[in-house]
Amino acid sequence: MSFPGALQIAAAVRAGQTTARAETKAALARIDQHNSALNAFTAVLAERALARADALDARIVAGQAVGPLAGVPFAVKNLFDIAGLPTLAGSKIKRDATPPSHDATLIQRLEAADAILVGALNMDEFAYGFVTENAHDGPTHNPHDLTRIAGGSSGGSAAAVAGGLVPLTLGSDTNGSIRIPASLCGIFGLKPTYGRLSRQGVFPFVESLDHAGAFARSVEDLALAYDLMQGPDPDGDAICVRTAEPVADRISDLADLPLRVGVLGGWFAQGAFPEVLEALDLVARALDAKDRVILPGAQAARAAAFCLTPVEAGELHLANLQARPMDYDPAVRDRLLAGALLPQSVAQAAQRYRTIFRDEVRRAFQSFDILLTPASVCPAPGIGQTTMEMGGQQVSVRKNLGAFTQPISYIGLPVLAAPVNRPGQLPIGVQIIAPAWREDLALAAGLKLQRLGVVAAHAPEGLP
Amino acid sequence: MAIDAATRAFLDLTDGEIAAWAQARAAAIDLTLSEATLAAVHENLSLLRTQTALFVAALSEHADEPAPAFEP
Repeated sequence: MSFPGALQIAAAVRAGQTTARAETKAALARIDQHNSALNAFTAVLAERALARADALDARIVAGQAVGPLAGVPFAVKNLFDIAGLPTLAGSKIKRDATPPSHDATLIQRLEAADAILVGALNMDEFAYGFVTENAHDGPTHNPHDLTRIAGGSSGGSAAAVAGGLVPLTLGSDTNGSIRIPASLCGIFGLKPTYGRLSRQGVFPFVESLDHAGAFARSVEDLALAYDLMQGPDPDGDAICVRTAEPVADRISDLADLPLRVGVLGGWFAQGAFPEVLEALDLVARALDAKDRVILPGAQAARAAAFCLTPVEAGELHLANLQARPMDYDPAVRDRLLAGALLPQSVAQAAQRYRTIFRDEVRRAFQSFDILLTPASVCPAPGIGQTTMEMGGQQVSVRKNLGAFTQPISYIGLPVLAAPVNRPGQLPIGVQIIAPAWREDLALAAGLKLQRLGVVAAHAPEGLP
Repeated sequence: MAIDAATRAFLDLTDGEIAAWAQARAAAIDLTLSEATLAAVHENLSLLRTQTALFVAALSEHADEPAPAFEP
């Protein structure tokens, strides 16, 4: 079984081999068939999607030009604003909020390219988690093993792509919320450089660390979607000011060039499951990466991100924590409460360490184009599993799945999470990390690995 | 090591002092900590104290300097 990719669908729609309506109806049918098992979607926008598909088909019939994502169904994590639909951000509290009047910038940009929005996706409440075991909407199930988590917080986004419901989804990543679910679900996820993609209309978690990004089943699909979402949006997101630097037309040539690749050791090798390290070794050998790179500040960087997160989020949620604390998911509430109690000076100190660690990593990139590390410490844990063994100790799943992702998002570097080709086994992903604003290098390395067959998104077996 | 008084006070808490410190801080910001949340909040504070100690030690003499605007 294989699923059509975004580029394949758009080419067929543009060529008249299929219609946007047919592709949209097929996606809606797959959602209808599989969502009861996956619980990836929290809202399906059939009427809106079919209306847009019909308008697109009419333009094609009239001989008008259409966009590069013509007729491609996509969906978004439910913290993205969708006009007319409450922006849940995985919460009970926002269920009664006034729906936004406009779509988030990234939705507008994908629809400007003639992609078709079909729904909103499950997530950890307020994006605070790595498991998508949402207390209000239920857990999202991993398409490769329905008894396991999809990862989080963008778990619905990853499961929807991995399960073949749609070829493209959007998510957000503050501490690993794109890279962890991409890894556990066996698909590609791109967390671009901090500030690259607009967060306008994306409900914040920790603004100092929040990134928007995407999931797809191939590097090419991801690169195209990324290009179409780039560009300044200073009125919507003050940090999104960088001119677009398209990559889709360049990464094929770039993938043929030699890359200097290092493998992160030290903190990034501690506690990882043996199969995770074996998967990383496959990727490292394919890229001829022989050098170990030690970042002495990585553990402190992870600690700083770990503390900055609840302090900043606790401040954002303080009014609701005062007024209606019991309406939160308990696993989220108790961390927000603790963060709200901490002095702001802790967050300021955590911010201060960012530039120190950033400069340490910049020095490492003087010798390397790409750095590799596992995305998650383990394959997908079971739904309801609270602890796991890490480094010989029983530790919390929720608090430790992001051990290898947090230091990297803390300093805003672009990362492609790529699924190691392990057919028949639980998915494991690697982080392909590039210097700031060099998404092209991460995607080119991913494309090289994809061509070599070292990374691949497999269709799940046995999805009911 | 240079460090501000509020962070120092948090880092210096013993396990036995966390509960009273949390109640005092909660009162200062009009937050009610219900009985159902106390154990988990205290556990989280204990973990945050450990993690704060890690990066404060790494900051060394830079601990009380203002953070520059971050650029990736």
